[in-house]
Amino acid sequence: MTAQLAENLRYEGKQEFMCTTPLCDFFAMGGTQPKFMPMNTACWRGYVGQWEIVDNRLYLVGLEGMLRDGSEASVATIFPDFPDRVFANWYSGVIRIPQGKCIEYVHQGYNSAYESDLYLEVNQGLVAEPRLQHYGTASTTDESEGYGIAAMTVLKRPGKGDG
Amino acid sequence: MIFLYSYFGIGLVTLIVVLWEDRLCKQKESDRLRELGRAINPDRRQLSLRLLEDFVLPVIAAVVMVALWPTAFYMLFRTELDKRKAALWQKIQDFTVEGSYLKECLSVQEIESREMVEDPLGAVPQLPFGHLNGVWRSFLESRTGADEIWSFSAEFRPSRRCKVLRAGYVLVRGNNPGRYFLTVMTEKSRFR
Repeated sequence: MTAQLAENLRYEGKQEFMCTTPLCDFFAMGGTQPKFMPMNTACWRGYVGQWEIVDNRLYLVGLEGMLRDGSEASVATIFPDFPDRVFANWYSGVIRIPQGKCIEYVHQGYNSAYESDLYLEVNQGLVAEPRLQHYGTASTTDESEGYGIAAMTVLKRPGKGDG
Repeated sequence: MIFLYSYFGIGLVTLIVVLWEDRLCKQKESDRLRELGRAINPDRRQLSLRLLEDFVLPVIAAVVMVALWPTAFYMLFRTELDKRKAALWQKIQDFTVEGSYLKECLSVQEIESREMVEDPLGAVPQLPFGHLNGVWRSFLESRTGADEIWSFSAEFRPSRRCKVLRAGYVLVRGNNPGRYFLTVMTEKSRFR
């Protein structure tokens, strides 16, 4: 599987990449799952969420994606009564925020290693104290900071002809 | 010197055990299957290939086994460990609630009063289980008169670094847990 696009997270005033997909847990726990249409091989889940942590609470505040019928997905597609902000009360787990330069790129899932990972333990939507784990220093100065993917294949959209 | 004799002695015993197990496996194999294997591979008819397969390779394998039996034990140990890990991950994948996971029997009212979710920004319905309320309602609709609702909690350790948790509520009918509703579904890895 190709390296996957991260979710976006606004945390302590900064925009971060989040290598965790809390919405997948919502769907696995029985929540309504729309029929997303993956647009490229770097996003098989078919959407990218925008999250925010406010007062140690995890919120879904945006969503970009395409549905199989060709319409655009948004937060309202999953949570019609809460189109602007959703408290992620279903989610318990660990949010991983890669930081620094990439020290080993792996073109699969979220398997690439970065200089540090910031871990946020979440218990039913409530965020606990962060934990920073340092793994090393990148061997080259050419690497850019922050999470990224090397390549992806754009998939053909349904109903779109060639040329 | 005695160490050397002991070392090769254990290697010999290991070889005998492996040969014995191989013989037992071959006895279970049907003659028809063996004949079919031979028929599929016509090269087996050549004497040189038969000598290689039936004598040379087994002798080499036997010498390697006697000389390097610690490696064989390590590989056996790792294979067994990997099998158990795979079985545990399969158990997590096909998760069902077992009797040992049950905690306490509760009424719907007790559960709903303890599971109300609130949010200062109003970003969750003020209902039991918040955004999972619809799933909870569907779970309740599947009950029959004989069903009790129990809370449950299960923890798995597929590896030293990884902890998997499942918790929630389950319908129990005559001591048999059935359909469940998850409130916690998490996998925590300590470090990379």
